[in-house]
Amino acid sequence: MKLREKVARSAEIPTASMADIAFLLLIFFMVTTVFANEIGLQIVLPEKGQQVKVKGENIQRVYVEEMGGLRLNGEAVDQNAFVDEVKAILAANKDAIFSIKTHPRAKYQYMINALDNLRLANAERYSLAPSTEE
Amino acid sequence: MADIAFLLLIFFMVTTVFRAETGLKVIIPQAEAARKIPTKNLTNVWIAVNGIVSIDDALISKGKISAIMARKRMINPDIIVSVRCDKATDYKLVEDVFNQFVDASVLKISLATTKKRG
Repeated sequence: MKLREKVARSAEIPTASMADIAFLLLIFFMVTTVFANEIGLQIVLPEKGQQVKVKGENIQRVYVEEMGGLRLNGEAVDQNAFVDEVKAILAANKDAIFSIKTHPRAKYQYMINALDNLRLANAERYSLAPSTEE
Repeated sequence: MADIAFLLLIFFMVTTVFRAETGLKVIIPQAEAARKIPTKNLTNVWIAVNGIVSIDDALISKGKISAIMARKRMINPDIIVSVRCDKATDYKLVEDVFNQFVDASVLKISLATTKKRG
């Protein structure tokens, strides 16, 4: 009986398709990647029951009307002039605190506008007051 | 070539964050002074035009928000809430949600906005 001669087989993984696989995965991840670029306005809400005494003269009342108009200490102010008005107040009194009061039926965008304008004027101290009709 | 492909592959694998939530369909407001918000410790809260609130892809009834937020704060005290609210929502509805955050002592809030285009 003649035994078959043993043939030494090479045990290698073919690497030719490696690049193909890499590209396939690459395209998959490129397509599914969503880069987190969320932007927003950060606020800190007051703690419950916490009352901070502020001097009355430092409080500046910002009122957001139902249709989006802005009032500063009771006077209607044009959207474009608002930032300058706030800057002027801050220049005169750097301890000014802006209290944003919004009409209950005013759109959220209008409140954001007011907040945005305060940010643009570099006002750092502001708070959201409970909404009321005025 | 294959090396470059692998390099890019590893880059995308590392940076990919799969969206865990779908949330509600909202058009978020625009703001000029908006800054980048950190994605760490962030919880998304969606508020739709009609006041429907969604947290973790579940519709939450109004009264239960503070309980859920209080639990979240217990798990992670550094929690930041990203409020993704539709721009046409009545402010009263948004305020109600804010008040519940205060009840739960979740105070760091980020109001999600989009960049205003000139």
